[in-house]
Amino acid sequence: MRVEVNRLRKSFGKTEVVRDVSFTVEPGRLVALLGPSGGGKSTILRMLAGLEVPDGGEIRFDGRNVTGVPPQEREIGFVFQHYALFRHMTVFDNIAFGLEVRRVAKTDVRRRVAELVALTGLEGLERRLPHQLSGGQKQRVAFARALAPGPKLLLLDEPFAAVDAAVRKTLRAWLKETIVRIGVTTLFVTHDQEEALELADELMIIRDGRLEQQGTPVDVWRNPQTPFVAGFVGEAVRLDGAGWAALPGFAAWKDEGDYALVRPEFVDIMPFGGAEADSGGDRAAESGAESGVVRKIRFCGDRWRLDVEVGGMLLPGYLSSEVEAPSLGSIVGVRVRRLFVCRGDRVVVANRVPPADQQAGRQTGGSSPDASPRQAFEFERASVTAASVRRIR
Amino acid sequence: MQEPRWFRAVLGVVTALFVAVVLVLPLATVFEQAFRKGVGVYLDALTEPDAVAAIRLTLVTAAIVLPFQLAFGLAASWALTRFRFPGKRLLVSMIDLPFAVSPVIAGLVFVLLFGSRGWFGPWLEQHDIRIVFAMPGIVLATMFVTVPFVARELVPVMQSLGTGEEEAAATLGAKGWTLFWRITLPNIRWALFYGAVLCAARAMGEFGAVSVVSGHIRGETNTIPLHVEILYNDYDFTASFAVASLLTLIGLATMAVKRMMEWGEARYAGRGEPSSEVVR
Repeated sequence: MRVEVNRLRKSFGKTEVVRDVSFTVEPGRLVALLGPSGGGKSTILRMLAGLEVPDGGEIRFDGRNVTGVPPQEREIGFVFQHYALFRHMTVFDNIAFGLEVRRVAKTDVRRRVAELVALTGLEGLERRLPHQLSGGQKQRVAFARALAPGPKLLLLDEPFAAVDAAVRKTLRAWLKETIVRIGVTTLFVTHDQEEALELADELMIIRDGRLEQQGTPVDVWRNPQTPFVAGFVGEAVRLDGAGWAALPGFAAWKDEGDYALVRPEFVDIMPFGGAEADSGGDRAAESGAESGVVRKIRFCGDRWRLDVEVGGMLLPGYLSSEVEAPSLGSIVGVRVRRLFVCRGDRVVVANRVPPADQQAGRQTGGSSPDASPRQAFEFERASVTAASVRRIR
Repeated sequence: MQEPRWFRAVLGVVTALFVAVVLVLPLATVFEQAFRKGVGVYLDALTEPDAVAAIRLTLVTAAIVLPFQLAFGLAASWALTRFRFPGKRLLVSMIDLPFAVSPVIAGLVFVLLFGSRGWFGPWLEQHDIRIVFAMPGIVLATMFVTVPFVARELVPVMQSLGTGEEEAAATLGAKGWTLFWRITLPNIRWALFYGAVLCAARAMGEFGAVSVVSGHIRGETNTIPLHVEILYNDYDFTASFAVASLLTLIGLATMAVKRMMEWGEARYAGRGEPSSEVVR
């Protein structure tokens, strides 16, 4: 089902929870509403379900205006954060409920419930009561119950919040696979960006009741349109002052922003082993990199996470944990490949201009990283993928 | 807990003694007195015409009051837990009012309103309608004192249930009555049942308010508690205690129902013991 939302507004008392939100979701998409808690994500979802009445704006399902239509007539499935299973009914009765109220024939109810029980892997649990189930099982019952009447739109409110971290990963993969197989248009709310990136075809970043950005995960990750998105998605460190513009290759953006955001994956760190460490500074200069002092090292299993001081700024960066970690206070080579340059509500994606073709870089280095100057990095390949994903849309 | 042994023993003994002297002993006395002159006399006391009339009036009154209180309790607790509206706090305190006001005053209010010298007295007399010193007065007084019982049981239960299941049912297509019968009612049935039992027990046991409006006409406007008092004042102790034993049994039955309700709640909530929030 195609979902169109136009200038949706909602206040609770004097608090404006949703302010003028508009978006379109194409049929069959799996969309994540991502943002900090209390940003209005759940309220948007509940208005789509008809559980909250908007103060203004319009909701259309496949072109039909459903703004004033009660939840019973919207052909939606809703999975609640705490599942809201009917506690006095068995798993079977929970799943059958939506069919029974639609007066589906008994034999058809039994067949459809059996189908969903198989789909959700709940075989053998049909006669259990909700309190006899684990968190993951409850989640699957809630999911099966919502799907039973064959909704055209599936809405999930923080679907994994009440599940153990250990179960969450498997459930996520399972949910994605199942939704893709059924092909139902799905919107889900989460504040966990890892979850959103992993599951969704499309992200909507919501903050303070506003839609900050809508796009594919790669697009949102690569081309944040507001400083909030740039800082919220991924790990970003804010660089104040003029220091960032002094980094080699970024002078051209000096007047375009008041501060910059840098992510660890934008920073290449080149360690110098053993004896070389003493002359590290010289080596760094030779390879066209700045030299930095290691101020913090954290072991993250597959990699080291470092804070390196360059020109009075602490830059984040990663090193493979296959490499021997540089010691605290030692000198490493640092090369920053990209910055998000911010001013007000605007973000410019600044790609480092190699010394050789300063001019060319400046001309093409707009807000799109796809147009970045040629650089022999993995990043380049990723951006090709991003572009192709966007074309598929 | 590491309190010394003697301390625990003293606490236990004091509690047991207190319960025995203040609760068990009087209750036992009721039955001891009732059966003092044998089962025959006991049964005679319960089957003589005035006693039968009192029992019948009491049951009829309770039967009239109960449906009203169930309907009111459901409506009020639904409104209090599902909606926000001005005057909500006032409504909550109003529901508790009969607990705070002496029942005698409740009875007096009805006499002042509907008695022969009351506000509506002359008009009622003209139209030959008797409220005070007749059954309608007894029903009204009973209605007044039993207002809080059902709502007070339901409100905390409905509050802790929240609206999740009802919303889920709505998104699945359930409306109005289906929603109430299949989702809400099964979840509140034990609280509703217990509220009804408490309400009925109070309706049958009420003395003060009913005493003021009844007029104590034997065989006509006497309820069980009033009949007990009259027999006692006549020095007919055995009969008095025999009838009183009926009220005592109602009280004990109420406690049994409460136990049942706790068992029922625990079964669906999947908890060993129901939380104090659900069962007070």
